[in-house]
Amino acid sequence: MDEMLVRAELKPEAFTDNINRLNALRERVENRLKNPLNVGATVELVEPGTLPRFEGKAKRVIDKRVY
Amino acid sequence: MSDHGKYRIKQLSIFSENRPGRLMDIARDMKEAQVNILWFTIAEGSGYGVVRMLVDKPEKAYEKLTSNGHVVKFTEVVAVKMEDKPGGLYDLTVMLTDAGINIEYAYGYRNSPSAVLILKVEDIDRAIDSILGSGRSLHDVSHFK
Repeated sequence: MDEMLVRAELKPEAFTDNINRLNALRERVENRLKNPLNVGATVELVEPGTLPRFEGKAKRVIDKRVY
Repeated sequence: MSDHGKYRIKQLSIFSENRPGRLMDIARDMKEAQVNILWFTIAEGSGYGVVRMLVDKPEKAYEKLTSNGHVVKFTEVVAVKMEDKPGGLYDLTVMLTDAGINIEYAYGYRNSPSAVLILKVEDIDRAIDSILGSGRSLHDVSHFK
């Protein structure tokens, strides 16, 4: 089954000191993605500003599947 | 009690990706801001960590870290003065249990000749009242300056 890694920047206002709540947030995003896409998604929380920004032609998906 | 504020210790909590160099970045910020780290730990999440620190100048540390893009929050904790002898933690936890106070997390360190127990609880004011009401003492914010 296909698996997708999604890196998501954590908004400062969503940050909490509580690890359980942070993990719950990550899992909630995973579930929100899985249902409409029907693809398993692993969400990785990253720091704000660390993901590449729009540079002309958008390239937001990297397909690493081997056929 | 009106003096709860002085017992609410500002701990810094910093979101940190789990990759090489992140702790170094935080440590560099503290060095550049001339902030002394009194205690720190890293709580492990899933692919990330939360760095928790007690420092001598929390506001200055917060300003420096946020200006460099770190996600930082103040978390209020209490610092219980403990006798450095067997049974001290047990006696305290009995009192907290009887008062119905749940500990979210805790850490301790020796502060010879005594010890300090840092507690993160849901209702910090009730914890302050209970601990002081039981005859125990708390460190106030001046202890960490």
